[in-house]
Amino acid sequence: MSVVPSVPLPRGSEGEMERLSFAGERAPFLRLVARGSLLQLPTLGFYRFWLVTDIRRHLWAHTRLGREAFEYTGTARELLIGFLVALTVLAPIYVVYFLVGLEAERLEAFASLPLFVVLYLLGQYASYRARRYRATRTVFRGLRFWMTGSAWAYAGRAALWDGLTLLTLGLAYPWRAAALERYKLAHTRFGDLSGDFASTGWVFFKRGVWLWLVAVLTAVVAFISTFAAQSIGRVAGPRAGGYIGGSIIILILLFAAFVIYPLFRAIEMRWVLEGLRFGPITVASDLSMRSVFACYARTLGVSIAYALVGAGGIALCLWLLAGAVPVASLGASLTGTIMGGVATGAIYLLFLLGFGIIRRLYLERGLWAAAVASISIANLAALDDVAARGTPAGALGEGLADALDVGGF
Amino acid sequence: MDGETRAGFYDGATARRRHVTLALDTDAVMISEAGAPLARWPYAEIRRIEGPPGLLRLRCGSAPELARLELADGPHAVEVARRCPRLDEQERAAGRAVPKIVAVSLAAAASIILTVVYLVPLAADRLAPLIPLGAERRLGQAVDSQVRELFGARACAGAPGRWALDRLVARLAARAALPMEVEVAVLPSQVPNAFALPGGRIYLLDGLLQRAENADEVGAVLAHEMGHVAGRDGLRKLIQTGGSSFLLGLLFGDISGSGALVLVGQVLVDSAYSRDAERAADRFAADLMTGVGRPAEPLGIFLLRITGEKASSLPFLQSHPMSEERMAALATRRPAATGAPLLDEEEWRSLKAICKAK
Repeated sequence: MSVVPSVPLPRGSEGEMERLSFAGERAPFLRLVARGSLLQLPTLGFYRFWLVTDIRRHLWAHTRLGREAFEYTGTARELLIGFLVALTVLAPIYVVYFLVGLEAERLEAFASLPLFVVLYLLGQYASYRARRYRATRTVFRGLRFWMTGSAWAYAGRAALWDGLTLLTLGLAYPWRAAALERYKLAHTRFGDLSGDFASTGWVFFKRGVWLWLVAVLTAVVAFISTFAAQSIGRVAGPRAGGYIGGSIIILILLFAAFVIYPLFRAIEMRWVLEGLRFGPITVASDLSMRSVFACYARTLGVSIAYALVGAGGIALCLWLLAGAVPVASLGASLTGTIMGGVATGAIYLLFLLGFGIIRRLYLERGLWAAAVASISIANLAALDDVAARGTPAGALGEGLADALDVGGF
Repeated sequence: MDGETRAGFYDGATARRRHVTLALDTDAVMISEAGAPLARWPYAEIRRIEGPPGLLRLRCGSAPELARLELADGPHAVEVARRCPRLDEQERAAGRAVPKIVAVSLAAAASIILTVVYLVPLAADRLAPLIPLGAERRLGQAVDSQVRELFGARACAGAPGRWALDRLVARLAARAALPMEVEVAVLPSQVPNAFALPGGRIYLLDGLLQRAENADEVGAVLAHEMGHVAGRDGLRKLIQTGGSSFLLGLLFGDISGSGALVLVGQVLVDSAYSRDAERAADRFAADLMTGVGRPAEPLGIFLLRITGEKASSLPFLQSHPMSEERMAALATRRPAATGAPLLDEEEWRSLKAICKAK
């Protein structure tokens, strides 16, 4: 990916900027992801720990600063153990959750809300611990990153800020992001070099407020058009109204998912990258909205193509099958029904697997490559004096995040 | 090959890149910086680490954990690699591990499936009798408030109908030896159904009364529901469903969206378990009906009339056995001596009108 180097130098830099680059190629990554995804089938999903580890190792190893590359030292075994430990933590919580839910039902109270809050907090806790795991498995120039700080303190902050974000319909989000990034980075170290986050919520707000307005406008349009569809439904019959209302909703959801959200991600990613500091080392990013948007567009396009080809293939199979055996009589018999069920399950898995591979290839890898290529770093000379500190952290956070489905990367 | 091989070296103590020269000894590579020896890495301890293209990245088992040696691709790198006999051991071990991972995963899955299919129902059967009746009653109240919410209506309590119902319940309960008192109520719903909650509450829906042709049919349905109360089936089902969804959901719930398949498995297991409970309740009903001197057959006839079922292509998805099968099992059961009718004509009419009376 060729990027025009038009980065403004941060103030106080000695002028020596080093660009980060991603040297990975798509084909080996695809092989790795396809193999790992297929192995998820016979392992009933347990291979995900190995797949995720392979993906990280690949991405880290191909991310270079000058001639030096990063290294991921985590192992799948650690993730598996983290997951199993997380199960022993979650099992009693789920049982208590169930019992409290029963009692709450009896008292007709709104007790399901606090329960949701408990799981939410646990999710935030897990994401912090998972980040700490990944940091301590990230090695650069013979030293590891590591993190201090309390995952519970982070979860508490996240909860308060998320509450505020909800109350302000998202307007407080930039300050939420700034507060959480600051907490994470102020507690991140590279050897004995302290991290910091230098950007502010106000900067993010100024860059993103137009997108917020677009989102609000979209919501208003959605609201009005549902009403319009209802009145059309009164005139032209509920079926026509339903079709119109349904297609409007789908269009708006597509717009939100594949236009508004990618642009938002682009603004946020660039803002986060630009705020990164390690001691005197500063980071600049020229990540463009276009490059992030392109990742989402490619993912969507390839997914649609895959779905079409897949559906076509299935239709062809059915047509060939219909020629060979009387399908109608097959449907009535028990074995026919079972075979149909198994075939449906297999097709479902095939689509699931395909979409997963496409997402990892075009979205996760694409965003990684775009972000890496956008970064340039100043004052690297400071690295020479950094001394090793910190020890590897456990993988419980990763396991919890996996079990709670809040996993980051 | 000359002894002067240039490389980058990180000692794992600082982030400084040292520009070192390598001397390839017989059993180890000697690393030195500006003539001063820094480290000695035995070939047998050296392993390759995945790096960017064009770079051979090495670590050493006897060196500090994060110490790294990096050589640009070329004849020197090839020569170093050639001398390290266990360079790619980790990679090879990872490859060998795959069949093992598959085998262990399959074994784990098999163990969980067997647990869900055999051990969880067994545990539910054994646990249910140990749970105090008071606890089951509390549970029943929780479910009851949901049921009331669902039907959004008060139970029918038209006076003569209520008396007839009480008489019917008393006649059956006296014979049934239930572990707890049953409370029977009729809800004004047109759905022809009846169900028992944990804690001894039984609901008959008005739709069922309307489609019944005689008191024996209603009595047999009541006896069937009493069978569920006697077996504490509501409680057992709760334990069984809770346990299996807990196990399946926790371990397999989040495999990249395969939740739908897990759900299908769950339905299969639950309905198999439920069919067993229904058969047991049918047997209980047959015993109870013949015990009070009435035939059991009306239950089967009534079920068949309501469901209109012949044979379905998906018997393993049904929570109840097929009505035909149930009827066949019930038809053979006849009382030794015919007892008095469950209700007289007058009572039967009032029972059918229980939801109409104000």
